[in-house]
Amino acid sequence: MRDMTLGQYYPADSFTHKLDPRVKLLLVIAFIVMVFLVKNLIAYSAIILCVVIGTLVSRIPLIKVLKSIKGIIFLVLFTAVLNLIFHKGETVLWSWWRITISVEGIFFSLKMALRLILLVAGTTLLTYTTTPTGLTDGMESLMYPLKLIKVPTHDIAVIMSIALRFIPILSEEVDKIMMAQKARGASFDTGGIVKRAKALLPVLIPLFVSAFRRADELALALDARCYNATPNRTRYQVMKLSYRDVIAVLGTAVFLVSVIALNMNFWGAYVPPENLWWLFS
Amino acid sequence: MNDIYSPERGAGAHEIIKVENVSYDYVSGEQVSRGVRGVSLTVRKGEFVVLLGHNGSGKSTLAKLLNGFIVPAEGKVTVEGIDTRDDKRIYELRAKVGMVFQNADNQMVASVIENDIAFGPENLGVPRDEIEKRISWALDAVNMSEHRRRSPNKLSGGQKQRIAIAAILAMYPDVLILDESTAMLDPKGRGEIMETISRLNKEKGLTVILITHYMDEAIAADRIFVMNEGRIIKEGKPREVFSDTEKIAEAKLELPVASRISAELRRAGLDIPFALTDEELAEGLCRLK
Amino acid sequence: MQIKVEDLSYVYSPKTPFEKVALDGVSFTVNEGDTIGIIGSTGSGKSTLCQHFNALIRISHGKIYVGDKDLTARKLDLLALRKEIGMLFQFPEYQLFDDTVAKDVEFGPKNFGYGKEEAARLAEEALVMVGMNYAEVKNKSPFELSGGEKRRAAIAGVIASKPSVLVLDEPTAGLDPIGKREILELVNDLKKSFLKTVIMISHNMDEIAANCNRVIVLHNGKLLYDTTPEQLFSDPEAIAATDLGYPHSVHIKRLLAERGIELDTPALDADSLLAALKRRYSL
Repeated sequence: MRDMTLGQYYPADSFTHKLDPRVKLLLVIAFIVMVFLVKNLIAYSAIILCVVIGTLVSRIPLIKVLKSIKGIIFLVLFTAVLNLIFHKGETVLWSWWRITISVEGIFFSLKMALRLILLVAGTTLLTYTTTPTGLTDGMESLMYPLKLIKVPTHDIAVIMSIALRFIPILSEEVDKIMMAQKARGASFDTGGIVKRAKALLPVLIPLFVSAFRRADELALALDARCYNATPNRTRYQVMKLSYRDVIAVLGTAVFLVSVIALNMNFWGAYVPPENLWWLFS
Repeated sequence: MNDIYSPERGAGAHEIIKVENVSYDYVSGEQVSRGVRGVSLTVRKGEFVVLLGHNGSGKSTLAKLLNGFIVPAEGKVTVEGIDTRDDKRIYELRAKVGMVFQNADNQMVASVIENDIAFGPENLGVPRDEIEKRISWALDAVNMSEHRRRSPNKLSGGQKQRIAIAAILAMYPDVLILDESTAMLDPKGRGEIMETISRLNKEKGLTVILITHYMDEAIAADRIFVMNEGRIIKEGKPREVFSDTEKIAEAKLELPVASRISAELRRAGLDIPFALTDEELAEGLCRLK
Repeated sequence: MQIKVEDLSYVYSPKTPFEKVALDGVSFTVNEGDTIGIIGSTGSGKSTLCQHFNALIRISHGKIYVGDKDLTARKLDLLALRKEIGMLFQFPEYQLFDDTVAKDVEFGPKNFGYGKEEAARLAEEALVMVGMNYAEVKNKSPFELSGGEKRRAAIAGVIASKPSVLVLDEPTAGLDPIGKREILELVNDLKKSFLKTVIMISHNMDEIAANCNRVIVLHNGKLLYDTTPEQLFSDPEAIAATDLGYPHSVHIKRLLAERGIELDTPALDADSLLAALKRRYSL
């Protein structure tokens, strides 16, 4: 837990770090849409390339991004196995009872796994390169249209900001409580699922008690700082677009178009050789 | 940086906070627990006042009555003439009486220090350029300017608490209340906070009310109020209060080592003055020769 | 039982921008019967060091032997180790979780393999030992207790299985004077009972000087001094190097010495200073 830097801001002085958070948010949304739209493996490789370039431009060690994927590896494997054995395909390789393994199934589960991994890698890149404050300010700004229909966008932004601030504090707290209970002989990594879940109570209860105690004091602190004193709240942080943002948007747009092109095999005229069909399926 | 606080202070200064015969009990379900009973006090502009008491003596309840977090069941609290019961002026009141709490971690709302300090002024609708100025001023006042764009997470306890103080200072309060803000700190952190608030009080003329159970933090106070079981049992200048060893014992407090030793030596017949600090004790014994 | 630390090093988040060297080649020995104070400024590595003793942090470089147990051994009986070495964390009241005080205190003994009745008996003993009225508190929720009582209940939870070594991380932090005194008295009482060795982290030099027979000074993860309080606090260089400060009684003694008044005591606590002054002035 203590080494958990997963998804936390990774300080560096890079092109991506300096981008306007709003732009980064929009780019990530475009990225997610792209990941869901593409179908063939060639297009997937283009997206992988996109993530790798993004990581290099952000001056983040590739290993950090790979580590973020480690966190969801169980989920990835689980869904991959399910897809593999339940996907109905024509070229059946092996079958037993309701389980069939087909060539199409193999490709399908591979693509689904890639999709999950790319989603995490892409969003991690956002949180690695954007400060929590940047993220919340960006979101509040992008939610502006909602404000017009009386959605309390500012309250939402303050809540997000507080949540982001307390994540490291509470994760450190979990770490401490776990250590304290381990010192009293508790064990969290033995036994079956039920036993393990039960073993977490001595951690979860103190955590909740502490979270509520903190919330109490935080509520007073918000009052002490005149939260909601006036509807004419001012803003200290202002976001400005720069040439970098234009470059980033254009760069991503080029990628987007080429990925779509690869995905749809636009040129149509191109007929892949027989033995490469799987790249385009 | 031009200073916002007037040098008005001392006996002639006007009374900024008035507490008149105030009582307050905590009621949860059928349980009633004592908060404060029949407390009266006044604080003058520019004063450094300490509320001393053990945990559960009612000192924090009294603090929360001062900025309207709770309102008295009996009696009246006014700040610059504003009654804390006046709902319409509650934010005006809270901007005047800034409060810092025990755990600095629970008082910060943003992950970058300057954004956290901006929060109060933003809520008050202070224009952007002015906020910029206030952040610089407040961070300078607590000697934390170089941390402006950093995260509070990596700071020491004393540094975090100084940021919490800066966040209140940025609202330009008339009074700064520290509600056990030193209780969780190590001696070094406590030293940092004491140095910070006494400088703010002396140089900027900020009125400070410190709530604590550490007697050594009260040595530099203009006035001390000792609380026990919800009442003020002793009031006066540090020397008067410390030398009343009976009342100190009644309040379940502990005299600083130098005071305790000088009191014992006096009781044993040695003719030395009552000492507040280590230096005073050494000086007193030295003169004896 | 001896605890031997040899060339212990530890790095948090290695090879990242968050990398932090917490311990750097620390070696020392804790003898049975010691009350050792571990001091040093925030971030000097005190907590990291202590969390190694009962293998809450596994050793990444160096060696620790607890008795004849090698803590780097692949097959280490963690439960036996943690029963032997109790550990009280900072603000231990935040680890209370069960619906009654008695059950919460029984948590440790049960984990360490005691039967239901035995655990209940140990819990009662521990609660009595920390000065609580067992009949009154046993069925209370731990969250209903006052601050000082919570701390004592938490201590009961750690000492219930009668460890022979107790590691305390800032045991008096956040308490008022009475609460502080009670906790220190309790630790001294425990040492007269089953407890053989005490390892205490503290920022309060008065507490260290008055209660410890040895001190370990850490600075930026390195062991600077391994000595007695008397030696340490009579060495101005050592005090200046670590920005720890003197205990008040030692400080007063030093001020007196500067003024030509020498006392026949190291003045490690207020009482011995007072006694020495009374002797000097024949009171």
